[in-house]
Amino acid sequence: MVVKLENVTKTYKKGVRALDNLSFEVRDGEIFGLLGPNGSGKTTSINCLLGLLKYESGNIEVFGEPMSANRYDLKAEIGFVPQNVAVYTELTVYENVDYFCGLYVKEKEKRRRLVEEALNFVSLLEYRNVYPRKLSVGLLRRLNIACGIAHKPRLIIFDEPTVGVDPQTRNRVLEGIKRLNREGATVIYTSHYMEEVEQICDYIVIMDKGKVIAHGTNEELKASIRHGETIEVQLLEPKKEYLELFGKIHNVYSTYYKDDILVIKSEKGSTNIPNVLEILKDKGIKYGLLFSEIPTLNDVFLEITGKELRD
Amino acid sequence: MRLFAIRLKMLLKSRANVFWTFIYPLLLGLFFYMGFGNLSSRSSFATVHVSVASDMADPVLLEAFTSAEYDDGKKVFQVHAKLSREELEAVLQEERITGYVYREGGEITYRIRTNGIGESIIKSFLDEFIQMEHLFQELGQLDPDVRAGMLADLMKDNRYLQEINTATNPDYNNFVIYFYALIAMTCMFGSFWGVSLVGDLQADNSYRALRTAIAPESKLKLLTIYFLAALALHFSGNLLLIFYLKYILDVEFSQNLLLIILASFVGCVAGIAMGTFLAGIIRAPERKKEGIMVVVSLFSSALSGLMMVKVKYWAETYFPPLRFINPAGLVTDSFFSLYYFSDLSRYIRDLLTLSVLSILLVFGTYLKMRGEKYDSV
Ligand SMILES: Nc1ncnc2c1ncn2[C@@H]1O[C@H](COP(=O)(O)OP(=O)(O)OP(=O)(O)O)[C@@H](O)[C@H]1O
Ligand SMILES: [Mg+2]
Repeated sequence: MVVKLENVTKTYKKGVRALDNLSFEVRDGEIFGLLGPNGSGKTTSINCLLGLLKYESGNIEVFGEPMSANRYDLKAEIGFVPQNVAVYTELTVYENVDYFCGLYVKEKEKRRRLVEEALNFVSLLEYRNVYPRKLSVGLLRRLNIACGIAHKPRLIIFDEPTVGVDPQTRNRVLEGIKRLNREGATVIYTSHYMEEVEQICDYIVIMDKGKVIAHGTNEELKASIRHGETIEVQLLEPKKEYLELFGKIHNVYSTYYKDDILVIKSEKGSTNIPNVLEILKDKGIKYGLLFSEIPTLNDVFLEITGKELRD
Repeated sequence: MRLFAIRLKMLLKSRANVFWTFIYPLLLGLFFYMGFGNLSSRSSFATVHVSVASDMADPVLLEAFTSAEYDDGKKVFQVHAKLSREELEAVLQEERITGYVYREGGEITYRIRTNGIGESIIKSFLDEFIQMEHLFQELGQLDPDVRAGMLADLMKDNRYLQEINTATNPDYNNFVIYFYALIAMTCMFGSFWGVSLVGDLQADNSYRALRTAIAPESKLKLLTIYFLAALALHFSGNLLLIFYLKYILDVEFSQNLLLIILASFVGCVAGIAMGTFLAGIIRAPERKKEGIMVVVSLFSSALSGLMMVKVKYWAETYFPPLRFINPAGLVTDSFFSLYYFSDLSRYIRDLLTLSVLSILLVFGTYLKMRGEKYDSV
């Protein structure tokens, strides 16, 4: 077990309960996803497990040992990419990575190699002598990542590393994380983007209001809910009576309109597209697009909490 | 060492730092200089109240004091004699006299209470007198009465006064003490360095500090390195100021320059230590801490008598421990004692107290920051 949180409760000064008896475990070698909407306590739990925050109760173990601010041996094996870009504007790209790496790696030659590797990893080699002020948001994010991973830690924690970056950089970051994982690092990845988590995570914990509301692999999570398939039909003349009409199909448990799109939700293990098409044809209902979606983590979240993952 | 170098670079890259450390003191020095250029051309001083200890009853010295006159015929000293040492100390503390003089083991010694023009006159007078006396002793055994008369006559030359009030001859410019005060105040501005170094080490202060805080590097080591880097810069700023005062503005520090530099070094340590400690224990955003430091360094400087000498004595009368815990007070005191006393014991005591105080402050900060977890980051 690489990380273990047990009944951790944390209340901020103003009385905000950020973590409420939170427990989860991260296994060696996996990409662990911590998924939750804004303010669900992802960053708070990460800061607790890094030994930065006080918490009222619970236990936190890292690499099987109790974590505290003075456990330098444990800290040496952890890499952290914080949610906010944390670099020195007074230092160049290279110097930043070198500085933070130097807090872990003392040996000069080895460090030089590691810094080069990290810069190469985030494709910042050509910006090595540039000061952070001159970097775009995407490049800064990449520098932020390089600073956190250069020392090749066993456990790397990414706290929403893709907020505010373009899709291209995002994909690159995600690919990079997978590569780090293949090279042997255990990864904790927090995000409120379900697509990202679905894409890269082996195991997922979904949080809301400081609690774990579901956990499992991507497939397990989706299998755990009643929902199986969403069919959306763009109608040219949406009518109220259609809701009832399609609701009568076997295994359909919910129908509603999203603007002029009729949403038909079916239970697990059923494929209702032929049925829907048949009714459309029989009744001569005019429609534009029709598409079907397999369940997403958003459906999981929606079914458990009754609200959308993203606001 | 690498951390030290990289830390230096971080600090040097900040324009604000460079301005406050290197440029600002020089500007202040220049303003002081321009201000005092005029002041020091004043020619006549008020009569100084000096007492002579009765157990000394040195007729030669007494005569010299009594007969000293300004050019306009006004007496320089008003001599009160025939008091015991204890009584003299008492009237000195009541500020009824400016200072008193006694002979101890053949050496002429004096006690003063504050610093100012009167005190400077006493000092210059005695310096001159002792020099003359030595001269006479070398000239041979004259009749003591004759000697007394001659000495008093010679002292009438007022050379010691000229030394004090001649602006054109900055060699013995009384206003040098204000430049000491300036150096002392600059030392205290080291507290800003303290704020920034703590700010880069406390995780709840900034994201980069957070990143440093999760690294497996002991707080004591980082604190030490950051402290030394700040000290290196702060002290070089002070050195620059001292050399600028001495060689560009021609302020003549009559004392050993090395001792002045040493005092300024210890002062820099104390200034940074004070800032480190306060920034370490106060929970506030960095801007606010800097504001607090402005208030604290100015207030402690004021208490140390930088602006008005008397303040120091009031403060220390009402709250005696201040003498040992106000770093600014100790720094100014070490400079003043360097100026007024040729004996170094008070200077050394001041510097030792300062060093101990600084170590306690920094160590206290370490204890506070060690293994620290935060309420929020
Ligand atoms: N320093 C703080 N002081 C008081 N409350 C805080 C503080 N930091 C976070 N909170 C509150 O604690 C809760 C959890 O916040 P946290 O930052 O852990 O959420 P998050 O899941 O990381 O959100 P995001 O996706 O926005 O990063 C929120 O309600 C937030 O308002
Ligand atoms: Mg967060």
